[in-house]
Amino acid sequence: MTPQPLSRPTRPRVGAILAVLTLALTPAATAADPEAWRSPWPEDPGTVLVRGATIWTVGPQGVLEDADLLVRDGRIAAVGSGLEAPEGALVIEAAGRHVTPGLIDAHSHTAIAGGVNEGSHISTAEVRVSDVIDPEDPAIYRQLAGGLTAANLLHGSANAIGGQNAVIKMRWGGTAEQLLFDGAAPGIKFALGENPKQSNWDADERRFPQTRMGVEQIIRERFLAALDYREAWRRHESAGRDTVPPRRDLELAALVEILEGRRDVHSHSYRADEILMLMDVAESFGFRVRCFQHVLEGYKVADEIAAHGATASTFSDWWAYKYEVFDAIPYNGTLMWDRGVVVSFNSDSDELARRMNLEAAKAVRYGGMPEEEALKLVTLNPALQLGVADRVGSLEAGKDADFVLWSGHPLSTYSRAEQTWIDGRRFFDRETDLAAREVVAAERAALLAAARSAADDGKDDGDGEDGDDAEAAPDAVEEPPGGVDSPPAPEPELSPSATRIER
Amino acid sequence: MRARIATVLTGLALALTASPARPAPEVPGPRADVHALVGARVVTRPGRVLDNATVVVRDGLVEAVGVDLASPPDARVWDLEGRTVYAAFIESYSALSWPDEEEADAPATGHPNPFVRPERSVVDRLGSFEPGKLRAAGFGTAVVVPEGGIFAGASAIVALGDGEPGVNVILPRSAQAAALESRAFGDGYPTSQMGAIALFRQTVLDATWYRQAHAAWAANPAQARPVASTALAELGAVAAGEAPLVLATRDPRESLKARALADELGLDLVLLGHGREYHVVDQLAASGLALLLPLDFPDTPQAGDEDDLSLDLADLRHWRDAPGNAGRLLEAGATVALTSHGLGTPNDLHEAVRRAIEEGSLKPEDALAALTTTPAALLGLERILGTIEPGKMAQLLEVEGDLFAEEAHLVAVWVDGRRYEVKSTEAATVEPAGTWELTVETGDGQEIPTVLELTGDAESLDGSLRIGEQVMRLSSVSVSGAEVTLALDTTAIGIPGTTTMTLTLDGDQARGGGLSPAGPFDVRGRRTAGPEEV
Repeated sequence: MTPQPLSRPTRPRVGAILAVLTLALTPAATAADPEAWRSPWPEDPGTVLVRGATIWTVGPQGVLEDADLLVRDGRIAAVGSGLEAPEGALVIEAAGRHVTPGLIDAHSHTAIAGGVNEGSHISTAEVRVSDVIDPEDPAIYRQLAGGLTAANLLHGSANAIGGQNAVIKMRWGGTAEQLLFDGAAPGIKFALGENPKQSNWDADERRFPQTRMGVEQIIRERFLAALDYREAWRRHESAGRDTVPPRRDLELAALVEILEGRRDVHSHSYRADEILMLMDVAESFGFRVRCFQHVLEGYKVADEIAAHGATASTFSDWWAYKYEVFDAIPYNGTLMWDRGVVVSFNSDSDELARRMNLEAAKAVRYGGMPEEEALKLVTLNPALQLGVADRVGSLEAGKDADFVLWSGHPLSTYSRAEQTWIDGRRFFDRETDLAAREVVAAERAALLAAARSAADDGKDDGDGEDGDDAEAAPDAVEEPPGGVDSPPAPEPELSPSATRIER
Repeated sequence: MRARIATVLTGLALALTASPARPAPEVPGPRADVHALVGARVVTRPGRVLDNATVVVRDGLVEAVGVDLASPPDARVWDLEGRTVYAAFIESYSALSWPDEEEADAPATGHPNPFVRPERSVVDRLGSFEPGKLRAAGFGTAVVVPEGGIFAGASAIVALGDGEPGVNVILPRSAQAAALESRAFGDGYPTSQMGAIALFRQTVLDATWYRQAHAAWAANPAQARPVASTALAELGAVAAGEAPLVLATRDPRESLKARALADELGLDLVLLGHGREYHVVDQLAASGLALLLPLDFPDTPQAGDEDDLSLDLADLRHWRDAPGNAGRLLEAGATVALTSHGLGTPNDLHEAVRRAIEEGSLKPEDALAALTTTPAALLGLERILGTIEPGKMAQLLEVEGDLFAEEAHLVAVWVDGRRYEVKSTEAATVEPAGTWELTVETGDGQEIPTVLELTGDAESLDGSLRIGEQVMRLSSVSVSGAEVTLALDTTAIGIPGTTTMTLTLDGDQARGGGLSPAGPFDVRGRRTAGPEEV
């Protein structure tokens, strides 16, 4: 297949559209710089018509051939055939292309600065991933380039009750606050099994608990403490003047939110017994587990998961990487789906998150899940799990205009994302990216030349230079721009890929 | 003046007769002479210049400044024709790291987490603070800030004179210092930055609760008594937004997180910056938060050929853009003070400011303001610091040429009305170790024999000075070329404060002069024993 330039008009209708198309031929101001803060916030074209594509709505309309997607003011206005482009609309001719909803990763550790785990205490419900979102993490852009538009940033699995999650949209170029997905349900990470009981830790870092029994007990203990905390506040509300108030405790306050159904539990889990255990704990405290993460033995207890009302976010085909996952099988997702569980496939990996469409495709390979259902594993189903299905996850009128333009079938290993749109703005465009690479290479070459030149100047007149000389008169030495000849100090290492230890 | 000389003589005579030292005054203050700095160009504040003006200094304060001003008859007159006098700089962030806490040192009613130590006071550690390098770079005042942990304790504002800390302290407990990540992560909570921020947030909420709880208990003691905590009591004013908190940040993400925390918790934050504020210039300027900006620009990258991929593009760009940071923030309307924090030595400040002016868009008068009037205002000390005006502290710079110009030469720094000459250091050309028998000659011809003992090589000298029976250890001694500069505390001979002396050596001959808190003197003498015989 020879891809056509997407922006070339094949059937121009009116002059207004022609003018817009000319604009579209030049690389639009999309976010393509290697540094997010230098990447311009993509302009809002107002109205966009994607025309003539195969559209996977992941909604009641199913898959539409030779169909159009109309976007207005950041939302989807209509999906159908023969839609008219309003005056001034940006028209994208997409014959031969496929359009899907933006992909969603229900389990990510991308863009978390300063450590994914607060692993010191068995419960750290007070810590918030939203405090440490790193908008400069290049993984955001790489995943955007793979069609990902939203991700659930989770605390690691070092402790039974981890930190509060943050759901983001991959708005490369935005600040941490601008990345946050405002409509997402508040959530929190729990973890069961080997990690919280420290099976694979150094022996000198002992922390209660050291058994699965202990993990259950500590979770119950913290919820009982949260109930006491809530009761203390209730008593205080009816107390008289000048009563010493209870101390606000951010850990217990978060646990109270869980008990009251205002914060969703996303629990790292593998084995059937621990999955049943946590559902039992939740039911005894009157709430429901929102989503089991990994849940590799979920196929053994799929009916129980469905009956509890939990969902499952699993891997496509990871198994046997530690003892508690020896019973994992790649049919897990299909089997749970078959029993009525809302299933998603997640990445848990900066790298895998760049190609979630291929993860979804594995559900077709293993177990023969229908293609539309497979695509839901990385679109509508994670949206349901994160409480954002009213906003994203399918291409339906009224939802956010988060969509991907694929070069071919979205489940094909030969296809790639050509454009990724969020809120009706083009955050990734392959053509722009390729053009930007040349600009960046030229800038880089110029900077290297300037550095070499400055270093040479420094050698010419560097005699007498003594940077450590406290008493030297400030006028003593003529120093070239760029200063002394020593290698640059290394940047503080905050790469999330380096800090991720969790599976 | 005459009275002062008499005091010197009395003091020395007492010392020579080996009488017990005269007791030092209970509260020793700066013992400044009266000075008239005449004929200089005086920049009284950024943008305000007086040509051929006089500055009168008395008792450590500026008494008068103006053109056609007569020198007082009791003043020592300094002819500064050709020089420019500025207000001395204020170092707004001079870090003093706190040693690791031993378990036994944990405060009994402190916070259970060792990273929360707001009740600490850096004034208690000023004994290990060295004013000399900052002063030689043109600073007259510094905010000494404790570092270590999430809440590190109270900073202190000090004048950068020699002598006992008590003489130099201006404000013993100034702003509380904090960071969003402990510098000493170990096994305990927190081990991550999100944990550090959670602890920061919880601690601020606890401090707010502490005030409410104790107020409620004070009003109604017939109920369970809330816990006592020196840490939470200390943070009450910070949590209420009544007292500033200096928060160290490391990158633009932390800058914006700090802004969000200021809004969320109602804090009055001052941010120690990192040099990449230009990434988020509009957001920071709009936040209204004051910024203390370091100037540690990246060194020239060691670039290979065009295919060199070892250098990160972001780092290359930062090398290009870093000098523009301060100028861009000021243009956007941010409140900016400059700090030498992060530089190899404070003296690198001048070169860095020059680059910020030449390569960036920093205006020289804005640079001066960012080192004088702006920090003075941030510290709430604009009534006593930052400009050259009657009644303010006599913290002055004598400069040949325009400050920050390439050919500028910082000649002297005045602190509390005392003049400290700034010397450039050269490689030693002499080895001064040995016994030197010297004669000190005071202003009116009184001669006092002294013995100077120096040990070690020129790079690591140590020694003592003996007058009569009193042996005084040298607090500093260094060699530049053939010149030996030393300082010592002369309280033991009845002259409280630091005395400095400079000797030029020629073989075994020495000649020079010095300044004691009581006045100037000359010195001459010779080496009577070599180092191997000592």
